[in-house]
Amino acid sequence: MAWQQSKSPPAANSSPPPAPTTVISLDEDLLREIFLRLPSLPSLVRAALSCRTFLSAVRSSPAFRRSFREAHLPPLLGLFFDPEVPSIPAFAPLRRRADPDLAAAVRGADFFLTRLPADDDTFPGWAIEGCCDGKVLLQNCSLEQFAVYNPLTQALDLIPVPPDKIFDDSRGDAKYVGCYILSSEESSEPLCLVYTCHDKSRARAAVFSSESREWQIFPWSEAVTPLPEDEHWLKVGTLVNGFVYWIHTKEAYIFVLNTTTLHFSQMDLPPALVARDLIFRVGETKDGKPCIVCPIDFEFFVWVRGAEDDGIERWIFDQRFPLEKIVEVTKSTLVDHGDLKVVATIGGFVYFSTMETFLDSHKSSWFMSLCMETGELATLFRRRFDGHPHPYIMAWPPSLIGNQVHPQLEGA
Amino acid sequence: MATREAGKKMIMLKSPDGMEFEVEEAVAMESQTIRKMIEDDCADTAILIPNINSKILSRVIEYCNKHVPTTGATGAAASDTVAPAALAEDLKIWDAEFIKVNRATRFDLIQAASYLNIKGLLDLTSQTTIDTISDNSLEEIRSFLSTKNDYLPEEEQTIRRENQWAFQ
Repeated sequence: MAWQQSKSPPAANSSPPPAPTTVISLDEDLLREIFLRLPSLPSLVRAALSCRTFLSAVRSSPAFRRSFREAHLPPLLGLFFDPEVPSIPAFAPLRRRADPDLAAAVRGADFFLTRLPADDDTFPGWAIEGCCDGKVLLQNCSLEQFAVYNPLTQALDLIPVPPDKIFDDSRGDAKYVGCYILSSEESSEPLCLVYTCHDKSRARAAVFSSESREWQIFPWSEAVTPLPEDEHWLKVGTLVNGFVYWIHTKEAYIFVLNTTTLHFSQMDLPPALVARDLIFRVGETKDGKPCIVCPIDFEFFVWVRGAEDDGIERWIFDQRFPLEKIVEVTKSTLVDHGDLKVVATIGGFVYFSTMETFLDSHKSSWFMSLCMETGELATLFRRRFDGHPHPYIMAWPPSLIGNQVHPQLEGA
Repeated sequence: MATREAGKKMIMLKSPDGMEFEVEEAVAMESQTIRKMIEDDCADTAILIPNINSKILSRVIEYCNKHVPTTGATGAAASDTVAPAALAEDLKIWDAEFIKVNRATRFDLIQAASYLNIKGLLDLTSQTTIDTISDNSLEEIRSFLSTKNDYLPEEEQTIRRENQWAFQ
């Protein structure tokens, strides 16, 4: 820091009067210091886009992006509810009176999915496969297409389903078990989808890249051991940090796909969860590790995948969250709530709901979130649980991330 | 080192426009930058504060005077009788009055708070800036922050296309 006592003060009559200080004359570090105090990602986007200096201060610093994420709640805008029958999914927005910019993002996004094509207006036929990095992945069986749609930027990419030869050489019937967006925050990277199917004992993946615009089909995996008794042997899978995890239908093991090597493998379950008929999925901790959050009565039990002293990776019991105290927030009773259901665990936040709707289809369930780091509970909204819920978390817009897409802005 | 009263060390701060401010050492040490200099023993004569003119420096000193902890050896008698909560409330009201300044002065204060490393003042000035831009259109934000839309037409087009909601 330039701090010199010997430096003589400038002669008063030789220097022109200084120009008034504007926010532009603050250096980038100081600008970022100020921006860090903005309440949410939507408010940062608005402030940063106002001129080149601000945008450049944000774009040029991945460290700022990390600090901003660290200091703020994930920018959850709401939840999609996808009914069992294919139709346009409903969106339930998050309301936060204290954050008008978040409301502006909700208002301005196309959560009605109006840009999705359809050959039948009364039955558009789109079902949500998942949300990832601000993009919604949908499948339309009659159009035989996937759609990757960002409701905020309204960027839409339509992708044909893989050719039928992916089912060739199957043992018994082959079944689709999920399609996932291989996410990369750096938006300069091509969009990649991984499509998965299984037969009675093996699985197979195909990868689509927006660069080649073709599906590359990979060979069938080795057969699992023991051989599955049922033709449906996998539950819904989740993608965490480049790996897809499916729980075996009888909780015998986890079936895993490494999306980098396209290699399938079997992974143990926490012994406490084997064959217990409990409902859980693999989720993601704040630092991107796989975790399992399993509700038992009104308590969450958390396991995190990691290595102990011997260096061998296993599920390590992490902590438990007693949640009986939610009644203090809901002013209801545990009997009315019935039970807890985990919707998804993303970035260290557990999105979950109570089960009123399952006990009485007219009743609303409570949708809430729990921060696993702080144990803090937040209420999202009350709503009937009338479809598969998918949390929609806003992504950093490409304009705010330094990459090759806008080279003309790099020198700003 | 100058002393005015028993137990109160005084420090001379000089602004680049030639003004001198005699302040209690404890007040000056609200600035982590000055504290470090004093602790490193490089502050035995007057300290020149570069880049901060006398108008801003006097406001910064005013802030530090108000915020210097009033307990301990130099504690004012008044604080012994005032509850901490009431004191905090009083500071909040005082801060709100203090920050009622024009934009240019506020940005000068941000710069000074950052340079002198006075966390409370940086929080106050930054938060005030943030509060003025929340829930405003881009045009309004530009006017509040005295910035201009300096994008080239094609840049503006890209940014608008990707962030339509932010422009509504």
